[in-house]
Amino acid sequence: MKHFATGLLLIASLTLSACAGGGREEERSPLLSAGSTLFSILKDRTGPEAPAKGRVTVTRTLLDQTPGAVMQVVPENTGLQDFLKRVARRSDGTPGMVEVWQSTDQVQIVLREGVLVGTKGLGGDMRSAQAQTVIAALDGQGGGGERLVTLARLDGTAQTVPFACDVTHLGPETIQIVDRRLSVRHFREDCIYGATTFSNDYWAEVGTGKLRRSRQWAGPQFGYMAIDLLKD
Amino acid sequence: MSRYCRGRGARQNGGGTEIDLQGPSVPNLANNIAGKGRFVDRQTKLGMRRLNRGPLVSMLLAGVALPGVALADPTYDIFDTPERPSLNFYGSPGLVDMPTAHALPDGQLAIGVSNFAGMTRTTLTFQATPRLSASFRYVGIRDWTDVVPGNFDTYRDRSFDLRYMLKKEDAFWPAITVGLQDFAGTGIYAGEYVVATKTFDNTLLPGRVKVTGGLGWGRLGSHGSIGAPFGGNRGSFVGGSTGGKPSFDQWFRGSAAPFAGVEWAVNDRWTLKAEYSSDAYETEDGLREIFTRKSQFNFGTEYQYSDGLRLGAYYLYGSEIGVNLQYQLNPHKPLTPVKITPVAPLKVRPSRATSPAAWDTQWAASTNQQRSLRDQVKEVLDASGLSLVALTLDSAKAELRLRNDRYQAPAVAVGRGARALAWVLPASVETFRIVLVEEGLAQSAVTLRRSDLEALEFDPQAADALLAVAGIGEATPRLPGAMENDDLYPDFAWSIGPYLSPSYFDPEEPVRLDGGVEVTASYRPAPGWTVAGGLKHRLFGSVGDKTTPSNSRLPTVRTEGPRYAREGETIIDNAYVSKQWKAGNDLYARVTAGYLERMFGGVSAELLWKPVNSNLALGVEANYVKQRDYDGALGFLDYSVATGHVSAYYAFGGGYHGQLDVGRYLAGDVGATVTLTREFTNGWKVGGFFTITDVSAEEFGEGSFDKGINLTIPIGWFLGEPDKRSVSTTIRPIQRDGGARLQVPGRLYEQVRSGHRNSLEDQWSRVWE
Repeated sequence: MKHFATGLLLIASLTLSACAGGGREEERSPLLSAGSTLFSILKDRTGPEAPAKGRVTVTRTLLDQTPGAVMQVVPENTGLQDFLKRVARRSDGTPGMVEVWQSTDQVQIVLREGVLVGTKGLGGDMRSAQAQTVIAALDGQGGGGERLVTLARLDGTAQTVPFACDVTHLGPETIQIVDRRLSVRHFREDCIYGATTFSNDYWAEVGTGKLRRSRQWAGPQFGYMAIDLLKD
Repeated sequence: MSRYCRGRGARQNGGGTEIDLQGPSVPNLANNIAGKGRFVDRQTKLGMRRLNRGPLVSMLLAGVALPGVALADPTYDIFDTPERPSLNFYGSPGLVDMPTAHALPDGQLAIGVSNFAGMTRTTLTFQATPRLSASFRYVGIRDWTDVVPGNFDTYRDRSFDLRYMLKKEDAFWPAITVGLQDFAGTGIYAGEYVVATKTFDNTLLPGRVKVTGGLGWGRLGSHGSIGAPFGGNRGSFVGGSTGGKPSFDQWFRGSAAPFAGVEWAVNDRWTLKAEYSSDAYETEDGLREIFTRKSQFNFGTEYQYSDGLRLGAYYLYGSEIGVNLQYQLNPHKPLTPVKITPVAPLKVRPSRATSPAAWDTQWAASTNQQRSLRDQVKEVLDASGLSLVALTLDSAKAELRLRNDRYQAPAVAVGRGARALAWVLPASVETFRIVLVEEGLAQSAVTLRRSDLEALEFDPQAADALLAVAGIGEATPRLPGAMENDDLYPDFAWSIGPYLSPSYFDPEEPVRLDGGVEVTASYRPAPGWTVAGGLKHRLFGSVGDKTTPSNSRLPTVRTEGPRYAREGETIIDNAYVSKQWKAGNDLYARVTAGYLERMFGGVSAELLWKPVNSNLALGVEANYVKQRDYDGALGFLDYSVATGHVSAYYAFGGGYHGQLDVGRYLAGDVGATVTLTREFTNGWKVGGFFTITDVSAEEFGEGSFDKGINLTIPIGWFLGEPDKRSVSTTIRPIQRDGGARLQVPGRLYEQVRSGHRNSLEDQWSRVWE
């Protein structure tokens, strides 16, 4: 009987009364935090499927009802569509306008003239990047050169990688974004560093030169994301 | 369960045969993280020179007889996917029972559990530098006494190995490694080898073939000897010796024998292995008849089950079936990458010419407006999990003191603190000083210009550029005339949860475990003051089942662990008052009194000198303690001792950290402890230590002197969310009374350096997170 009571007390202490009050974050039990996180990971893996990959079909009416600029981003690793809002827009000492876009789950992506120069909150982020060679090439017929991209290493440090990049003009195309058909020029940027390569695609609107669509690489951890500027 | 209702629970501390001597900090043996990438090379070389100068360290290096243990640059390429060699039955890179020459990837931890013929070897291997690895092994051999009588039917022993890769493999030459197996134990696995391995990618076979050949001595030279190239007189293990010392006189002596083997990785998952072993298993096969050896050829197949786990099945020595379970992980690669919810981008100030009103400085004269600004800053910091400690403001500059309880990287706290100021403060405030404060100790001051923050937030090299214009310097102990945060003190915290307290390596029962409920509480009446305590109630456990009394010839300061476990059911784990403060810009002090740990109570005082930008720290600690009663209540035993140390801590750069403590230990013995630790930027620490005192090997008993391994794992590595906490454990092959150190809660060095230049710079790239 004593063993039974002991067992109950232990279970109770492990589950119900494992509590803390008042203290600071660092005084919480590491073991319990670890346990609860693993549990939630397991639940995610074994439980009902993550939110269905159903897509929202964007219509002009829907867009008109939405205040502010809207960007659609689809990361290729999940295929889940998200709509980002612009939270900052400004110019700094580096050429090109910077825009910060924020997703519904608080992740931010940073674009300079539409070129991805940073991500925040993904885990394994692109900390910062040069965009000048791409921006210059989009104006003309192509170009390229060295492009520094600083990538988070997952252990808290970062590595600035000097990619050698080449931008080629693949010619004029017509793309459709929501209900608008746009005349664009399609550029492809091929970058290489050692055995690592990535290829970004950019579709720049004829006339304004604005990037309306792109498929860009956000680092080895996250991979590619497809970006559509739905409403500026 | 609410966010605040997550109790403190079982810590996974344990060590040697000692009882879990709680205290939030397991002996703070070694630490620091040093050297930002670009300085690494230089610091490493400097570090090496210093290493060679330190008498004790060079003794260690000489002791392991390694030619030029170069601390190579540990930075790695983000795109590197280094090949991971598979392990042998000894948990080292190898074939089946024989070693190969390849090294594990830098920093790798490998756990191997192998079994054949009733012999189980459990090995932890750590690749401490790109070329040097160390292993700790625990072995159990069944039927030990079937033929030769003895005390235990299952023979259990610990052993240490070292391997050093002399030459990396290149297009033409093979990799060459020299290894010392069981170089300091009681010697049944003692053997040395030189081995070469060459990889062939383009053969007629699919996949990859690795061919290995080597020469072994000792155990590895016991079959098929070709003579004794370095002399024939190999001293042997003397029964009844205390063991534990490097057996210099045996290394590479006696007969040598060749061994060889082939490993064929058919594809990414399956591998076939075949080898010719040079081990005659003289004791196991010949003397004790544990199994019958019929052949020197071993065969096996291995399957890579997951990224970490590899399983193997083998046919050994012509008579036995064996299995090998191998697990490898790398501290660099977190279980879950840490994700931090970003904060909003900066609001850039309008120019003074276009909006002169925004640059007005009238507010600085108003106490009310200053208070209101403080409250706004506090709110912004709260949202990031940071606490405002104090703030001073004038029209041009601000100093913010903040406490970071959430982020393992201090740079995150600094970056968020600076941006909080930039959001809230009027445009005229240009200079920000951010001071990190840890339990009343101001760690360092980072000075940033607001215009730099605005200019560099999206710079192509945002973090490096900001570091170039940031000033990292000392912080004054106090900030006179500051607006403080009245919510911080007094602070009361409590928790209740489970605890587990293991004990290892008892010959009768390799792992014993106690568990129960733990209640802790702390009260902080004012900055730097702590009144804290913990109660434990044991619900189950077997640690106290070991009833043989201590055979120690010294005062039993640690070896009565089982008795403490047995006689204390509900115990006061600790209960103390402590005050710590900054005695000068580079000087920190602490006084603690009470029941400091499970076995000792008394008073402790510490003084630490650690300049913000220095790799060196010096400390002195003096304690007078009395041994606590076994029952864990308020009483004391008769034994009391004055114990204390002078300590030097040094960050060699590249994540290598050393600590030297010289002083008097708990049993009254006088000597020194050397600790060397490999520290990873994300908070992982793997280290080893040894203590030599004036206690002779005979007086010390088994093991001859105190030594062990420290392991610290940051919680954030598992969770993937920002977290400052970590779990630590110390593993000793055996816990004796010589060279035993007092465990004092809240030692200064870790608290202080966690906000100094090395720690800030290591993860500076996260300043914009």
